[in-house]
Amino acid sequence: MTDTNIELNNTIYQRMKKIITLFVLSIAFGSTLLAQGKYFTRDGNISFFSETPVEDIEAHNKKATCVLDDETGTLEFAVLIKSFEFEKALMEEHFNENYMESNEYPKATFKGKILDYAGVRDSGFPPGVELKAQGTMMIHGVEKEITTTGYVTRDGENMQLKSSFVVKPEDYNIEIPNTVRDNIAKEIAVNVDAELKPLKK
Amino acid sequence: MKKLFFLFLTAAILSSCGHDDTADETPAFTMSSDDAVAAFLDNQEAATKKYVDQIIQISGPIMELQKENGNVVGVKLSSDEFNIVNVSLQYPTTADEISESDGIVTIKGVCSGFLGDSESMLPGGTVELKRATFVQ
Repeated sequence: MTDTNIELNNTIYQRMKKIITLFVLSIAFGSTLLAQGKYFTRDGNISFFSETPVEDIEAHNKKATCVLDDETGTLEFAVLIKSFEFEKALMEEHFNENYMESNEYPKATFKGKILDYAGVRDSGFPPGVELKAQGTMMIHGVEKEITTTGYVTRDGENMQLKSSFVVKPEDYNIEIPNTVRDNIAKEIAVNVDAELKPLKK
Repeated sequence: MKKLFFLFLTAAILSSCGHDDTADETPAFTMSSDDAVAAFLDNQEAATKKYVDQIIQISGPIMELQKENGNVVGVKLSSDEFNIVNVSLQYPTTADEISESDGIVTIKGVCSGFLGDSESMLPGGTVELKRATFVQ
């Protein structure tokens, strides 16, 4: 092998080394940026279910807004009450006009934090680990401090949030008229399922 | 007794009724997706009074299709990632059935309001339409 060939090989080797180093750094830096960012959706699913011997009532809202700050575990949810859809038009009308008074109180929100978030995040969100979220739930214009449980998983570059909890209408000053009191459960089961994607800004 | 029976029958029929087809309704307002969001950003209270519960026909570029089991169940209209019109369709459809003209689609649906909060971590705002149908 000539001196020229050896020199050429060394140059190629040095260039390859630089490219690999840059590639590794960009992956590491990119994933750090992603890990420290916010995640969001405008298509979160929130449904509720009222079960009584008289009738079952179910409604879905597939337009919930949710933002999670992956650095701090700060979490926000917001839904428009009028975006809940019922099978029967009359139920939807009663829900908005008589119970939720959605013209006056158009939104329901949750603002709080996932407790011990950093530890679970740094462990890579082990499956089956139940997390607690603590914060302020606002429904029907009434704010209430709550703690609820749920699961966070990472799916590629997205995050999945799931939670189930119970809401008592009376806690939020939602009055149920005597005539339909037997039709509506005292405890309403709420399910939350949201797939969050990175918020790129 | 007869009156009572008819009252009961009417109540039973009404309670089992589904939602009217938005496709058959005439829109109260027609506008672009940018104008719809701008109206709420400019004056949320006035826009809420004017547009909420009304059937609105909105035209704009498709930002994203929301699918379930391969069918389109929702669509986002916007040329801007943070200020959008977020639409739930009354009936699922297929992507092939959506007709665009120069990248613009037209949809009509019931306006359920605006989500946007200057104190939120999420910038911008969303006008929501429900029970919407594509206008061919």
